[in-house]
Amino acid sequence: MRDAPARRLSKKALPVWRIAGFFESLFYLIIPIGYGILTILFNWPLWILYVLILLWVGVTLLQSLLVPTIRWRRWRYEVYDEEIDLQYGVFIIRRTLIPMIRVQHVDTEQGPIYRHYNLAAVSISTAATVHQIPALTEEVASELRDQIAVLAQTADDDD
Amino acid sequence: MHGASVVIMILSRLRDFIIPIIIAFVIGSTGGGPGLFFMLALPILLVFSTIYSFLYWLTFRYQVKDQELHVKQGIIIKKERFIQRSRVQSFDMSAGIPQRIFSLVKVQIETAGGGGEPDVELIALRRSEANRLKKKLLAKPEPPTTEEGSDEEREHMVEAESEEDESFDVDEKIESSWELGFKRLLFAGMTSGGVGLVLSAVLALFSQIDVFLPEEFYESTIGLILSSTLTLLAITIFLIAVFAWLISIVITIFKYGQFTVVKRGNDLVISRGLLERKQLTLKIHRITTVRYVTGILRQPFGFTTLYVESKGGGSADEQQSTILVPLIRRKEAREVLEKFLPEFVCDREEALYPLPKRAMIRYMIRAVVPILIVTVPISIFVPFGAYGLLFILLGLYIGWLRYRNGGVQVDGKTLILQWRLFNLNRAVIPRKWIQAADVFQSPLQRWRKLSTYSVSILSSMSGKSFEIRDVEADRGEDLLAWYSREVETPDLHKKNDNNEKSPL
Repeated sequence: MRDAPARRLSKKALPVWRIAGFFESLFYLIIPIGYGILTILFNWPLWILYVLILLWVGVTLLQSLLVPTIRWRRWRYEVYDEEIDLQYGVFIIRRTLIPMIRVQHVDTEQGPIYRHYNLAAVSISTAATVHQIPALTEEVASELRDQIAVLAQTADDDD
Repeated sequence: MHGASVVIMILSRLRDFIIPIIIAFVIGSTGGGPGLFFMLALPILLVFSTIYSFLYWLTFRYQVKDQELHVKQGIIIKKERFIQRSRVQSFDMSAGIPQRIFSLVKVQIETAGGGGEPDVELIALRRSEANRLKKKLLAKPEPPTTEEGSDEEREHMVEAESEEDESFDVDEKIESSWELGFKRLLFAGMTSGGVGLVLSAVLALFSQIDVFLPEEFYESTIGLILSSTLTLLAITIFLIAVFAWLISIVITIFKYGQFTVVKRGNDLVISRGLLERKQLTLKIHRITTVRYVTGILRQPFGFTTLYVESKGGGSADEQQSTILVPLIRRKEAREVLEKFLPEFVCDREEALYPLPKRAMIRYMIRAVVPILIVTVPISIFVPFGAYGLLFILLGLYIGWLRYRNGGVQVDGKTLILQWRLFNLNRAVIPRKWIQAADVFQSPLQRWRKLSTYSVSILSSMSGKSFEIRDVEADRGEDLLAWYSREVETPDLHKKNDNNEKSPL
């Protein structure tokens, strides 16, 4: 079996994902709140509300603590002369190969949170798919982007 | 454009509205009193579409000049469009019923990129004019203009071969052709599996028909139905089903009547349709995948359908794939491919690696779960609902079939995937058209040492991916290594012993 790719994401990915995970779970707060309102209005059983709140706390903890850690540990990438090798996924582990000759363009992207942490994501587009390597430090990201761009240009088709 | 285009536009506009009108009528008729609405809406619609069509025709201009197609259109917002001759990817001529009345054709021109709508649509042209336009746009460029053509091509990095042949070969001789005979056409209709769709439409119609019948008739019929035996009811249902079946045959005949495929130089020209003639031109070196689709009804007779995925082309009603051959015996399919697309002929095709035994239970569970979700509550809450549990057996059988039919093989630089949803699918994908490959594993798959292998290709304007679930984890690795350019390709056929069989 081929070894997992070697390079990892920036450590700073963890706080970013934790924040993102927490904000995402705020969105799910709608469910217990909505049920709470209905409980008051229609006298629905109260214990379901407690269960929902408990569930929400569980999901929040999972999303903002455990999932980012697993994700970071899983995320590996490697750029070779002829292809890009990715491995990622929290529960479902995914391994993706993108040949250099199929790469159409590479971008770096940066949202406000990323900018605050000096992070950037690299997107690799083929004719049919788009792949993203998230949370790299800015220097690594732009270096990677340029490296892929050069390699993609010089790759030859062997088929 | 031809003046008749005004009439044609009105007609086709009305045709677009007919279905919503019928639906509104069917639904509305139960509520009563839609009459007034129609009395008003119809003439308004007619007047507006007449004015619009006339202005559209008046403002629409096109011409070919200096290697460019120039189109001017727009009633309020003026739009001008220049299309480089060398960028034209497909040129389709079709003739709908309205066009046929005036013996004109509709021309659709597409370039790379862009969404679902054709870039240029000329609603009504004389056939001779359309042919002249085709020649002007697609003929090989004359010597002084060649450098422009090759320049455009450079960005299509992927198409290593036949780059220079980007322009269409209009004058090329017909190399080989294939026709769907009438017998085949009829058989295709009989086994099309479109019955379900038509049946639901027919039932919807029947459920509304009571509105049109006089009350006495209605009452007496209800009495008759109530007093009738079960057999009579069964016969009625049977008759309705046969009726739906006949309609679906007729639909197929109209859609695929006089189906021909012609190979002309680098083009495949597919023409079909009885009333509405459609012609589609595909570039052979743009075809990325050939797919065999064998419907459940066709499988016992050994018939299959050939689809091709192609960069550019493909119509919406075929999910971005194009039918190359609507109905053919499995054995003959190879001959046809040799004639049209020799690149997609594979020797190992009949010897696919089957899925491992331990994948079977996973396939069966996946097929049964949705059925359980529906049938279990029904069997609890609905009287006689327990009979629904019989569907579980059906689900198990389908799951088993899916497991049994799943398979994968590699033949040199070509990947062959086979899977079943309901129809049996087999995709033949040359490695050079695969845009990216994936292997993934859920925790349960990891435990059972299985993985899912998936490849993405370019089909029409967007990507499409094919995947095979629950292959041996090692096989998944090997397949990924086969796709890799960095890793030595493993000997995929080393375990070719007794393990090899045709999962059919």
